[in-house]
Amino acid sequence: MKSSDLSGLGQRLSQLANFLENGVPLREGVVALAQAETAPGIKRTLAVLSARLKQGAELHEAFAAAGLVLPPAPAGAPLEGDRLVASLQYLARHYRARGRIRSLLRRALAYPVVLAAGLLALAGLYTVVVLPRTEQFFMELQAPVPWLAQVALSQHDTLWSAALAALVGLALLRWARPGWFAVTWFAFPGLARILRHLAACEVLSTLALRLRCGEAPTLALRGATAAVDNAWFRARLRRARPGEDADLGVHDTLTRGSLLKGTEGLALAAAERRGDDAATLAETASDVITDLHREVERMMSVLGPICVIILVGVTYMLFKTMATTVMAESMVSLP
Amino acid sequence: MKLLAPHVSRPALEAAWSDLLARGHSPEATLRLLARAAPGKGARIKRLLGALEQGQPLPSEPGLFTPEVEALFAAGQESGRLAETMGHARRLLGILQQASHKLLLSLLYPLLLLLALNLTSRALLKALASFGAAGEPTGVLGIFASDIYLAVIIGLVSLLLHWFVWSRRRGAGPSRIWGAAERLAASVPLLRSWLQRGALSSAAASLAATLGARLPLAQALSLAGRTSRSVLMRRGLERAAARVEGGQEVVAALEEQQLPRELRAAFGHAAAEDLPAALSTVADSAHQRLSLLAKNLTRATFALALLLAAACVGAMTLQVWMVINGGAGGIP
Repeated sequence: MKSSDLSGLGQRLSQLANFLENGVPLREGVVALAQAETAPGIKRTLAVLSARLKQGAELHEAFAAAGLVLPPAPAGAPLEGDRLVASLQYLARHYRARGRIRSLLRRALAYPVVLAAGLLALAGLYTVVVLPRTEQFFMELQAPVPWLAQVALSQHDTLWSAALAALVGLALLRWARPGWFAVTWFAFPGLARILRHLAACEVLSTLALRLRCGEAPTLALRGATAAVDNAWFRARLRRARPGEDADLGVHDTLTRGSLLKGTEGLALAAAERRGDDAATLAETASDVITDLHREVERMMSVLGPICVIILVGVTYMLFKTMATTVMAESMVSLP
Repeated sequence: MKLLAPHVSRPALEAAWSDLLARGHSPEATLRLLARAAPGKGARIKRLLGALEQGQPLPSEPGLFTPEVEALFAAGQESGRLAETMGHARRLLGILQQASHKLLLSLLYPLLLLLALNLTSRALLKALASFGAAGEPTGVLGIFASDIYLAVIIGLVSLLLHWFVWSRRRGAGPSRIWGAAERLAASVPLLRSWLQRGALSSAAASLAATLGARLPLAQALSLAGRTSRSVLMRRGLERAAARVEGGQEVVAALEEQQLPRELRAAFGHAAAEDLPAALSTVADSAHQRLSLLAKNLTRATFALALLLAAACVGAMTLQVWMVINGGAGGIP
């Protein structure tokens, strides 16, 4: 699902919880939402849910058929009334958090894409327009061409072939293995930390939902590992994950998997040591997600100015070089 | 292994300390966790732990917690409302961090714009020289293109970075350079309102935390003064604290020091038990207005920067065109 679909699904589930609170029956609420929905992905999910409920399926089965995991009521109580509203609200929160993670990830990756595309375009302009004129100008003057220009002139075919091959390789990687494609963004300084935080948010968000569903922390962590999009962090987390009988907490595992560092998510470690129940652990995980989101937004606000400064600086230098070359040529050709 | 351990900054350590205590964890358990999470500071944290285990008050360890956080912890322990007090402290730390970040970013953009003005003016002057209007540059363009202007802008950027570094080392006392710069900036109407919003949000949050911990009013004012990153607010609050200690009424003392009217209104109208909540509202409101100001300034700066960039490119193109068509220009 796309980030907008995930957030949208969270909003629809929240609306459904509001309907139930105001006395609208579940089936009618789902039908009304499905009819009003315009996004195809969400409409499909709601249609499946509505069809299953009409067929008289159990609540959990109907939600599972639509691809949603509904947290059960505590202590095996029947899921109805306020408990159903609470479960739906929790599910809505989970999808909104997932949507926010995806949207932050897309925004974070937009900066290096703009930067790389801008630098590539400027490099192309330099090699196609400026370099040949510079070479010709120096040859007319019978002066030696500067060594940097010589290297660029002699090797520019090779460099462009390599750049083209890299672009095709990246496109293939994006298509065949999207998880590993995300690893390439580590090349951009500062972005690795953002990706680490977002991967931790993905794990914690799924973990919180699974803990709410009554799964044991070790099992919940296993399921949460599969939810990480970034292949690098997924592999690290798999290696760090404890065995069936190992007594390693969630925070320790995430720290061993390099998803959390220093004092990040320490509230989770403290809650585990105190022996808090699954619901409190899930709440704490949600709080840690909020903290990490705030940190990611803070870091991303710095990426914008850095990209602008680099692009403006390179553009200025390029224009200056072009202006110098063209003017020098004209001066020489003047009688 | 210590060298490979992740560096944990003081703000991160303070945030974790206040967060865990606000969640109701015991100070001893929290310190044990912190010692594990920050091995580079483990020895100093263990010294604090040793003191707590022996029933002594928390000793001051330079580099671990700021005096404000230490004072709030002591006040919370004394009043028996540690979790609530540290919850206020956590909120205060969040506001301080966000306010300084926003202030830095929103001031950085205008400074970059002023720097861009220098580059644009130089390009325009060269373009004018291509028309044959060579000679000593005069007028506004001449000022913007001058080396003195460039030196002033670089000085302002350095000052801003200096303030940012100082503000991360809270408790170190205000820098003299920043104090002089703030007094100068406060004479400009727009900047004064901006600085006041920043100072008000942190001072109100700090007062909410200290009064929530049931600290005496004079001590709360003095502590809020020490937390403030604004030299003017710090001085005003410290003087008001001295007056209150001397028996003067708090609203009169705040008025005498010309402190923001929102603070005076909170003290004048809210009942004693509602004062922390009222001050929290003042802090939130000031913080939101600061955020809005920062956002608008950033947008305006971006728009102006785009105009300048267009002017710069236009000037260079004109210069090239003039030379190609036989104008009298020089190689830049």
